[in-house]
Amino acid sequence: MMQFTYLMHDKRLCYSQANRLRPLPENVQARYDCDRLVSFRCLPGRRKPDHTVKKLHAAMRPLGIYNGNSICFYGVQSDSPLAPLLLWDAVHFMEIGQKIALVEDTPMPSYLDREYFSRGLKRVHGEDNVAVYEKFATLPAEGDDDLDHWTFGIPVGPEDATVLNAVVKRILELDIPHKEILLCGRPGENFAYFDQVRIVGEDIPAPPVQICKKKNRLAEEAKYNNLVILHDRVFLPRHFGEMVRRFGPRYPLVSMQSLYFDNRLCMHPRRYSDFGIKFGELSHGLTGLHRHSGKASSIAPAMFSELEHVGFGFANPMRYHLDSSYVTGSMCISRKEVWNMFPQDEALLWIEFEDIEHSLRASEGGVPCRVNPHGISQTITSRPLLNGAVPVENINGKITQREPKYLSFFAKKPLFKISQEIAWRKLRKFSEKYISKPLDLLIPVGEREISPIAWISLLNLLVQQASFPNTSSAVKEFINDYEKMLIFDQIPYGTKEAILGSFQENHLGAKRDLIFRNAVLLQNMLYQRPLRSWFCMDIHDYFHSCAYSWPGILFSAAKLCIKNGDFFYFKSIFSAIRCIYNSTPFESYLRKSQ
Amino acid sequence: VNIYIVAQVLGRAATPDLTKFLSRIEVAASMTIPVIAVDQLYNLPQLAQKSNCLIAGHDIAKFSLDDFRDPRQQASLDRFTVDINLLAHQLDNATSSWIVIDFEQHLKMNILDFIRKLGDYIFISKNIEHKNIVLLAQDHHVPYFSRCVNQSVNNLSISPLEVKASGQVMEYLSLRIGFGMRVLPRFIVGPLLLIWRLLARAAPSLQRTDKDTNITDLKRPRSSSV
Repeated sequence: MMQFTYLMHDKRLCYSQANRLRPLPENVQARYDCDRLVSFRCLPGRRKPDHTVKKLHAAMRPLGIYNGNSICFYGVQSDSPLAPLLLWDAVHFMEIGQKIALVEDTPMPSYLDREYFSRGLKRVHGEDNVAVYEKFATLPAEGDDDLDHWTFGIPVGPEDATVLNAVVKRILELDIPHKEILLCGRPGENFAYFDQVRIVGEDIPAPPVQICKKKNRLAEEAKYNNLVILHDRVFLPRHFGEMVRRFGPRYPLVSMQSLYFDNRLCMHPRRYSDFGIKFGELSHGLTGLHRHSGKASSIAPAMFSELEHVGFGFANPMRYHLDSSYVTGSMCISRKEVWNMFPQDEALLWIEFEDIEHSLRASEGGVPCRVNPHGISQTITSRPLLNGAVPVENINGKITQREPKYLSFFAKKPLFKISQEIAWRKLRKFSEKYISKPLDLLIPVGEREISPIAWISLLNLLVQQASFPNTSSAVKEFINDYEKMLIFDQIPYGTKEAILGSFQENHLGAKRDLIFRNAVLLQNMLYQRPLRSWFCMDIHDYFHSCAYSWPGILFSAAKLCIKNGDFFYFKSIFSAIRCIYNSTPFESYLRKSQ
Repeated sequence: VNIYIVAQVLGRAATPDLTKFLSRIEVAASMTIPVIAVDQLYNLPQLAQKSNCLIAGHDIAKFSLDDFRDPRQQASLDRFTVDINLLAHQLDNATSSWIVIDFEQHLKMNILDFIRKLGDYIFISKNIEHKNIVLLAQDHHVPYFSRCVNQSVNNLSISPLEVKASGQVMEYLSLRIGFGMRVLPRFIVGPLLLIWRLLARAAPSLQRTDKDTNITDLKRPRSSSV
C-alpha cells in the first residue's frame, strides 16, 4: 500500500501553499508503482495523508520520511525551491535497487540528471513529465554513516598564532571521539599545539596565497571522511559533535551561521561570512580567459571587477536558491569524497571569488549547499571590508540592507588584527619606497596609538609626498602597495580600476583625491571606529570575559529570536542562548598560548 | 559571432599569432553572443591548436577606430562620432573570418560610441554571424569595455535587486490604482484625479514620460564608473 507524505512549507517563506495548488489526480496512488508518494499537494477529496511534514524550510531535514524504499515525488520540483535538498536526501537514504520517480505537470529538467547523481542513479524511464531513476550504486556522500570521526583542516600562514591557538584548543575540546587536525602551511612560532596536529602542504609557496590549493591538499590528506575546512579565525561551537549528529549523515556542502560581536560584551550581534546568495547572473554571461584551462569562464581574472556588480549578500538559512546559494570559504563541512569530486579551482587565489565558484560549480554538478541550524560559529577577528552595510535576504525573500551598529556605547574590538607597531613598520617601508627624503616626514613610530583622524591625515601626507612615474605598471604597483601598506585590507577590484583610470585621465587630481574622495573603504572604517585607535593593542581585546558576557548573550539571543529567521535562525530562544554561549571565544582560550 | 576584448599589449605585437591563440579558447554554448575578456594569454600558446581553426595570415582584417570616423568631421578633433554607414560598409567588405579593431589611444567616449554602433550593426547584419571580432583595448579598460560590449550586443537578465531599483514595482502599483479608478464611482474618482494632477504638476517626476520607454536609452551602456 502506497503511503502518502504531505509536505507543507513554512508560511513565512511565502512559498506555494497547498490551498493555492491543484490537488493530486484521482488515481495517483495506483498510477505510480512506489512505496511512498511525496507532494506539496493534497489528496483529492480531502483524504488524510499518512504523514504530514509541517513548516518545512531549508534548515530542516525531514529524514523520517525516507525508509529506504522506492519513492515518488509529485510536482515537487515545480512547487518548491527546496526540491534539490529533498531529492538529495531521498536518493541518499534509498536502498540500492530501489527507484525514485519525479512526476511534473510539464516537462522540466530533472535535478537528478546532474553529474553527481550519475555515480549511483540511472534513468530507467523517461516520458515527458515522468522521470524514473534506479539506484545501482552508493553515491559518494554515503560511504559510511560514521559521525564520530572528523578531520578539521585549517590553511595557515606564518603570522602570530594566538588566535589559531584558541581555534585549535576549541577543536581539541569538541565532543567528537576521534578527530584529526590538519594544518596546511607552517603556523607562527608561538603555535602551542605542534604535537597535536599534522602539518601538510609546506611546499605550497606564498605569496600570493594559494588558498584553493591548500584546501584541496587538506581534503586529499584527510584521514577521515567527515571533513571540516575552516579558516584560522573561526571558533567552533562546543557542542559541534551533537549538532552534526542531530543534522544527520550523508550531507552535501554544509555551513553554519556565523556571528561576530563588535564588542567584548556580546552585544550587537552581526552575521559574518557564512552562507551567501548571488542576486544576479554572474557577469551577465560575460566570460574571461581562465588561468589554466584555456576555457572562457565566468570567474576569471579579467572579470573580477565585473563580478562585483553581480551583487552578493547574506542568504537566509531557511530558504534555498538553486545555483545561487553558496557557502563562503570561512567554513565548509563536506564529505571528503564530495570535496574531491568537486575540488576548488586551483587557478584562483584568495579573495578571487574562489568560494563562490566552488559552491556554484558543485551546485551545478548536483551538490547543494545548506545550513546546519543546530549551532553557530563565531569569528574571532574580522575584516573591515566585510563589516559595512550588506544586503540580507529576509525569511520572506525580500532583500534588506543591514548596517552595523555604528553608534555604540560599548568599547569596540580593534578594526585590524595587526598591531600599531607593525602598522608603523609598514608605513615606514612605504615612505622609504615612495618618498625621496623619507626622514623629512616624521612618522611617529614610537607612539603607542593614534587617533583615526590623525592616522588618515598621516596617510594623506604620505600619499601626497609620494613620487612615482605615471605609467600603467608603476601606478598599478603603487595601488597594490597603498592597499597592503596603508589600507591593510582588500580594495575592491572595481575601485582599483577606477583609481587606475583616474591616474590616466588626471593624475594630479587622482593623487590629490586618493584619500579623501576615492577611499570609500577608509570612510567605512572611520564610520565603524570614529574615535578609538584602529589597531590591536592587546590580543585580549578579541576574547570575551565569561562573567561580563552573560547579560549580552541573553539580550542578543532575545533580540535575534524576536524576528527569528529574518537574520539568524534558531530552534528556540534556549537554543539561541546555548548556541551563542557555546561559540563565544572566552579569555580562557588564551591560556596555553600565554 | 564571438567577440574578444583583448588587452592591447597582447595584440599589438603579432596579430596572426594572437588570433591563432584566441581560437584555442573553448567557448561554451551560450544563450547570448559570447563576449570574452582576455587580459593575458596565460597558457594559450602551449595549448594544442583546434584542428578546424587554422588561421592563415590573410584571414585577418585589421582596422583601427579612425577607419570608422565620420569623414564630415574635422580630422583634428579628439572627440568624434563613428559613421555607422562607414562601419557597416567596411565590415561588410571584410571577407576574413577574423576582424581585429584597435581602439588605440582614443577617448573613452569615442570608443563607447563605436561600441553602441557595433551593436546596431550586429543587430541588422547577417554577414557577421560566422566571424570573430577582436577589439584591442587598453589593459585596465578591458573589463569595462567588455561589459559595455556585452550590454550592447545582448539582451541580458536583470537581477531582482535591479528590478526593485528600477521602480517597476511602482508601475504595478499604478496599474492597480488604474484598475481602482475604473471600478470606483465617478464622484470619488474625480476629486482623486484632480489631486493627482495637482501633485503631478508640483512634482514632474510623477509624470510618466517617454524617456522611460526610450529604446536608445535602454541600449545605452550604463554610465561610466571607471
